[in-house]
Amino acid sequence: MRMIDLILMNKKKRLFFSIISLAIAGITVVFSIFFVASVSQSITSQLPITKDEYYLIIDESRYSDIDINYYERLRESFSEVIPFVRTIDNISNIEIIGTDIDFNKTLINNNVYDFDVVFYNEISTTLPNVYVSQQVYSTLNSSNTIFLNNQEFNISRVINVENYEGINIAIMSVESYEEFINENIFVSNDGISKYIFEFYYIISTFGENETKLIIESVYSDFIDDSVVSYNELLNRELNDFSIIYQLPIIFFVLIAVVSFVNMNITIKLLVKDRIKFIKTLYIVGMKFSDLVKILVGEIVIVSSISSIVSLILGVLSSIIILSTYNQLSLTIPRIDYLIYVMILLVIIPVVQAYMSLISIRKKSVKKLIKM
Amino acid sequence: MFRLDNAYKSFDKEKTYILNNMNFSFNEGDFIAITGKSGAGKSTLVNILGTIDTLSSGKYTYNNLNLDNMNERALAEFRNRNIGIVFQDYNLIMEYSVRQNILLPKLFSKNKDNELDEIAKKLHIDSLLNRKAKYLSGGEQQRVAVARAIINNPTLVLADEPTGNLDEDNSDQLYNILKKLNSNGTTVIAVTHNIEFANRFNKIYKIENGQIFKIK
Repeated sequence: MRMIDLILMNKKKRLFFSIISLAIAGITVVFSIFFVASVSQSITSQLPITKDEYYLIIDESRYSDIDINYYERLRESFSEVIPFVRTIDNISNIEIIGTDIDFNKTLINNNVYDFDVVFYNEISTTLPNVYVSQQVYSTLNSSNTIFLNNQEFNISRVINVENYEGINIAIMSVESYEEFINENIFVSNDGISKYIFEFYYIISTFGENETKLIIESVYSDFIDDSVVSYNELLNRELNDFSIIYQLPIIFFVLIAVVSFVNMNITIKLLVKDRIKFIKTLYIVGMKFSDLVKILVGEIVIVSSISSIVSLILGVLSSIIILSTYNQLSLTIPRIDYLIYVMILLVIIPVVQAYMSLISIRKKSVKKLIKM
Repeated sequence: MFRLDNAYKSFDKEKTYILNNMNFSFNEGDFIAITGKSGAGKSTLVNILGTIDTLSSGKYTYNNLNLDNMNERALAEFRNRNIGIVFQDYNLIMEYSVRQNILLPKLFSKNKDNELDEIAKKLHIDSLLNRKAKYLSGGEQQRVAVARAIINNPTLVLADEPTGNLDEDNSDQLYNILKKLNSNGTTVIAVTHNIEFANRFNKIYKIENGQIFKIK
């Protein structure tokens, strides 16, 4: 016979309540982790850029008297650099964007979006080409040309912008844009030609800090806020949902409280229920530390069972609830998060059971068993 | 030698004393019965001699080893090694088998060797070893309690009203068992209000007014 044989051998029904209450708390935490992962996935899928993409918001008109071609400098450092300049055509109220048009990227409200070509005009003309949004094309009654700033352009493509429908936008190459508003786009100073842009879309695989350092080396008065990264956009979005991200923490605190009360009551009732059992063991030489080992051993089993039940039922309930909720797509959270939760669901009740036992103290147990 | 000197025990913050300046000593190999009225303090004395309880004041020693100064851990080890206790209501764990009940002290003992089979045979419970305690008669349960008390080969066996739930035959059997233990060198102290049972012991003491007197 070993000490371990004493575990769960006497009046164990009392522990079912603990298993159930801990499991319910655990299910809530597991579900909240799935929920947060699904909300995160929903938010990140709507972000206009990915991890290696950056916006550089920098009005180069400030550097118009400096003979540096910043655009070329940036292109030397990064694999993809798409510049933007924009203005509004006063007559037709269309936003005009000058860009490196071949990359199918456009600038809308300080965000860069991908666009899809939905119509391609194969009629070649001598007019400069322009892409227009579906909205603009509809208002022109499917005409193949458009007048902007009293200048006629050939509509070579009609575009749909992902995540952004119904906008009046016309996209033209930097060269066409230069003709459109020539004195602002092109500056010649001491024989050096350059464009002055206000916004860049950059793809960089150097990581956020390194990317910022490279940009800082290009511009003399660079400020950190000029670069918008994926992480910054994500954090801005997450701030709006901060309460959701606190859910697992809130539930964990609740569990800690529930578990503390639960364990305190359970341990006291276990000791009272088993007073004859404990008295018998005490008579034959059991030490208080042995009693702690026996009861904590039982709580390890109880919390392990609760933890496994929490994981199984938490995953099942997450799958059922989140897959039926149209606005969120079920997303599997990071496995290490779930493992941490499982470990904590075992450790927290065990620590609290230990604390409860210590709070009972040897004297109280001795007092009880003398009755 | 076990020795109580100027022993006091109070359960009500020293308003009244169950043991009141008690002086009591006995040698190894003694065969003693202690009698007294209900509430006289017989069970309290067993608990103190068995190191389950401690004195309010006074001194309890075993061969000059002061048991009052021991911490809980050392006292538990001392109890496990040196003292076996048999109670009126046996204090068995009913869900456990006879074997498990007898071997309980071994759980807390450093010496894991045991003479279970020999002890069980001597007490005529060898055929019951795998039976759960709850299925035994009162006499059988008492013999299991005795087996458990002596499994660690203790110096002192204390029996608190051991015949309280037994008929005459089983009381006789129990006496013979205790006598045999004593003849093998074990000190036996039985607390009882059964005068007939007490009269069969070598020495008889009586507890009265918190003090103990030798009457035989």
